[in-house]
Amino acid sequence: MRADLITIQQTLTPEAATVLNQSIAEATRRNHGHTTPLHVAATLLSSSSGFLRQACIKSHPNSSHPLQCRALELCFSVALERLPTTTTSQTQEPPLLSNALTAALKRAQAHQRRGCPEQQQQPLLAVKVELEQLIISILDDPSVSRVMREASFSSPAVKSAIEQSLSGNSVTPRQTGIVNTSSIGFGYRPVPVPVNRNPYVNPRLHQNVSSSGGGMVMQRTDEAKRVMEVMTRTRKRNPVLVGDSEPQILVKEILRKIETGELSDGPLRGFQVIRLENESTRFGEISGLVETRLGNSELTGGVVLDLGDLKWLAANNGGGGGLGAVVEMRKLLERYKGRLCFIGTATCETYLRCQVYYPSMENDCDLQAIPIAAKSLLLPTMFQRLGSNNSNTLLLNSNNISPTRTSQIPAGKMSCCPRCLQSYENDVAKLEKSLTGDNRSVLPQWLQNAKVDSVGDKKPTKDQEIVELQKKWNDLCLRLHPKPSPSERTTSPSSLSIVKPNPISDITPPGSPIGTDLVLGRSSNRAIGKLGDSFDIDLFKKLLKGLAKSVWWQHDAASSVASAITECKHGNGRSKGDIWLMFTGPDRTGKTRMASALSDLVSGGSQPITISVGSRSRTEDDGLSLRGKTALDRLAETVRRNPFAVIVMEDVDEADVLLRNNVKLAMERGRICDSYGREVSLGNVIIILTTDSSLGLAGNVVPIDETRLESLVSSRGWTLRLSVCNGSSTRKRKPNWLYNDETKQRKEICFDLNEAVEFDSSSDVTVEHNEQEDNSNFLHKLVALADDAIVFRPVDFGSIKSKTAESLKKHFGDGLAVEIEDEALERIAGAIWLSKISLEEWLEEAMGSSLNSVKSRVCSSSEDSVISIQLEDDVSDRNSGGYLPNSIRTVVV
Amino acid sequence: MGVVEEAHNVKVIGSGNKGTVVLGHGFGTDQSVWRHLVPHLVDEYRIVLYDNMGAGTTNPEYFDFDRYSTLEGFAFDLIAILEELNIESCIFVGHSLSAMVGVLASLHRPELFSKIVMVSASPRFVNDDDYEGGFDQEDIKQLFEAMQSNYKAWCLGFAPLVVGGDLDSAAVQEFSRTLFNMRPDIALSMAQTIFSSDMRQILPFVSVPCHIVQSSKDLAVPVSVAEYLHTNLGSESVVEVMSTEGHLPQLSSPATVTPVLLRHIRNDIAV
Repeated sequence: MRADLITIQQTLTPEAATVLNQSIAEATRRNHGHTTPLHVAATLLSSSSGFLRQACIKSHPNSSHPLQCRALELCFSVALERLPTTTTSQTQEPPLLSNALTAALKRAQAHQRRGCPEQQQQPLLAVKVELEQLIISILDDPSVSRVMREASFSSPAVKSAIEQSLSGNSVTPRQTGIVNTSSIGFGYRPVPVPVNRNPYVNPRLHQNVSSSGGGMVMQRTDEAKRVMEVMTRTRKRNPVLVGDSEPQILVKEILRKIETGELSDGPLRGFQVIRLENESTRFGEISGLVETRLGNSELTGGVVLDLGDLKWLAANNGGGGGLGAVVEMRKLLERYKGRLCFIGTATCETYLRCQVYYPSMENDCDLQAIPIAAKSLLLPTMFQRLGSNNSNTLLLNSNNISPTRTSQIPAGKMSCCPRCLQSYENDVAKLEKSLTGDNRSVLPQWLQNAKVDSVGDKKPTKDQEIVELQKKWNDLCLRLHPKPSPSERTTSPSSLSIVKPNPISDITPPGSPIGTDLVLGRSSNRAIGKLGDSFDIDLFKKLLKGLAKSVWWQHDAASSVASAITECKHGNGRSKGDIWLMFTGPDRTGKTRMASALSDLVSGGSQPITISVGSRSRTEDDGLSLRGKTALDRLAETVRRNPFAVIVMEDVDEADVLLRNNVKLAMERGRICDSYGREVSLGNVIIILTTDSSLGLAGNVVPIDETRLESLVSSRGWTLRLSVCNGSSTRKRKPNWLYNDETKQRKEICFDLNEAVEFDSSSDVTVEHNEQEDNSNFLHKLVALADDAIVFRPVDFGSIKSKTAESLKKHFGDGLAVEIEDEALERIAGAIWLSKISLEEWLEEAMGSSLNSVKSRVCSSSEDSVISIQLEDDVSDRNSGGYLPNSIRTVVV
Repeated sequence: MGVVEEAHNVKVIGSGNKGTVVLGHGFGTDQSVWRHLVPHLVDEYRIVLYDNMGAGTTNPEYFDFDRYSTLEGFAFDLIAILEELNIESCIFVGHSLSAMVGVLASLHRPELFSKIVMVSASPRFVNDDDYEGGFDQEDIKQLFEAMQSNYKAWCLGFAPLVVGGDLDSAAVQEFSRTLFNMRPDIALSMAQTIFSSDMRQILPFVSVPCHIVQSSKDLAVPVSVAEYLHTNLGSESVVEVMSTEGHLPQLSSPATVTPVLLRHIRNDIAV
């Protein structure tokens, strides 16, 4: 017997022999007396090469459903379970090959020989049966084809599928490729891939597609609908929901609907539900209950009997009360045709077992199996994940906003009347038309980004243009169609319906408005244009006064800031509370002071929080906890801590790409995402972005070189000497006058930086052309997104000096001649300009006492005495870090 | 769009007629890691970008832990993509994990690859007798433990280490982002796959010319590894060690790396 087996194995290729050995092992494990074709078929089905499985799927008409193949496997395992087991003690010996199997092997051998070309006919033993041939002859076995029929597969069909693939596959290089590599011994076996011409594909991809029925997974409501349809038809009206976890939930839902009478129309009206309490022994009682209920004449409808999970039927290998229950069910059905309905659930395995144990059950009890895809539960979470991914990529990757995003902007930002809105939409449509030729949209977002970055696209991007269009029409509308009340202007998506056609707006918008001044140059006309309507005049006045006082040299900017803040605070067409302002222009001090004054006025005396993006950071007063974090995280952290803060992002044009994109997104969404992905709502913060670039608007004026000034003021210690001298003294005057002349020259050297600046910029143009262009592109985008952009004109230091002198003189009181040495004045003016305190404060603090003593001296001395303020070098180290000297030496000559 | 294309977020761009370049990203990143290189290729080549299964941008449902417990899973994905796009031959640029995936795929289907450009590739990350992989068994154990205990913390620590930049650099931030986008269990599984893989035995079977490009200072791949690849690859190979630092030079120092990669993509090894 052993020898027999060995001879047979020699006629098989290693693969086929392995299958045979596994089958024998399986038979041994199950304690079967013989190894039958069924064992071989089961082994083939479960083997990972999956050749038979693939063929089965290919042959089956509804092969797309994974249930089918599983069903086949189960049918085989059930069939194997039914085979007689040996109780004798021959367990040491491997079971004999059954006659059927021996016959099958012989058939295979014969086929294999026939397959060889005639002239190469070889002796019997030299022909090795390949796996494919083995499968074909196993399929020919009647017991195997019977089991396959049970699982609704046809073995001839499977056979022909295999034969087809044999003739097809043997030629493809792919097949040989795999064989080659596995023969290298690399230890890989191709992953079984059901129904797929591309054998390398991740099987999960197909599982998902097939179980979802080609595209979308059916919603549970759809499935419920299907079940209801089954229940209301005349034949096969008793649904059994087959699936892994879903069915119970679904059944519960359906029964609830029936019980609560939600189905008031249709054949299921007035049906009652009886639940079988998971005990097969009690089926008799239940059937009695059903009979009494149905016998009750008051019941107009019928009864739905919930059979629960059918595993009670499949238990005990079909023994026990199962058979009785099935017979009882059939009787009940026959008696109460149309008035009784069964509903049950089963896992795929259970259902197949039931089919095997009670072959006639499906017909007798009119059951209809409905496969329920298990995926529908997973799906929501899956989509969530996908969704969050998308938003992530959106959030961090896009320089250009995605199309969906841009279409959202208009709704949020348009605050004009319907007529202008329409014109705006027309413009957008035109713009989109003109851009469709652009193949950019095909690119992934991060790539669009890269393209802009590296190629330096000159054209303004689409969203930028859209935003500009929005601004254009919003402004135009505001000018042409003043609104009676601010409430009508709010256009959050929900309140869109409130927007009524404006009765006053009978002026048609001009066809081609001049749009140039709309984006940036509004600062001057805005205050006038907006004052009329919905404008909180008190707030505006207060802001303007406060701002103009501390940044007196930037009166226009102060007025723009005041009007912008007033407007935003008023909720002018916006639902979010955060305000974004751009401070552009070279006047760094002006910008800082403006922000500080604004913070003082708006958030009750607190200082603004400055986050310096650029390299020229002058502030070192960040909190310790913020040190070492990225600018983005500092911004987010600040917002989180204080949702009402005024935050200054200095030199935003120097931000890296990541920060730029995040800032832009934050501007659009009103939420900022830090580098850990946490989102913070911007609340009511006012964020001021500063840049030294004046965006080409004020290019010709020479800015003050603040660094030069700063070094002058703080390079070495200096102090002031206040002296009272006699006006008649000419000895004093002459050198003073000479000295003045000298400083004038020096001033030119110090502050006339015309040449240097021009030289700088030209070198920039040649060397870092791309980067500059990129920068200005970015800045324009920011300007378009910001609530307002305020231009700080370059400051003429001469006027600052004269103004300082004026206020100094004023401080000394009328009637006193005050003479200020020019160099001293320069220092004072510069220091005041750079530092945070105002001239008055400093004078009070540092000069208070000396001033008093000087005053008293002057009073006592002659009329024409002169107070002179002079510069004195101070060799000692600068104290306390301020730019200004703490005290002033008073000398009386 | 085919299932495979969709699942891997395949993007085909570029109008060039000099052939197809397929870009494969490494562990913890996605196709965006090639952002600096791609613009320079679009005019000459057709470019195929894709995400490896398990990257944060792919559907975690598709990540079959069995399939991806060896690098073959990724290699078959790659071939599946090429098949679905009907690509007959391509230049494959693979970073780190993907470099080895490309090599593996080329073993199965050599005709699909005209050459492989490996960036920061290593056939084996773990030290061995007379092999310096860069990691000790103990290091890796600790790494896995760290990943398991607190994935986010691990990401934040791992990113600057691997990229080799300071904490604030855009490259580190970018890498942390993509790294953290991965589902922690998937990331762990992938890391285990990568660190347990040993491709040294298969190198002699490689028949496709390989260009080995790598940083002079890379925590994950010592320079000696490039030399090892060069000596042991069965095919023609050439090594270029760049002056850059870090495991993701194409992200952290694109100015240096992009010209090098372009050179290797455009030119073949002179015979």
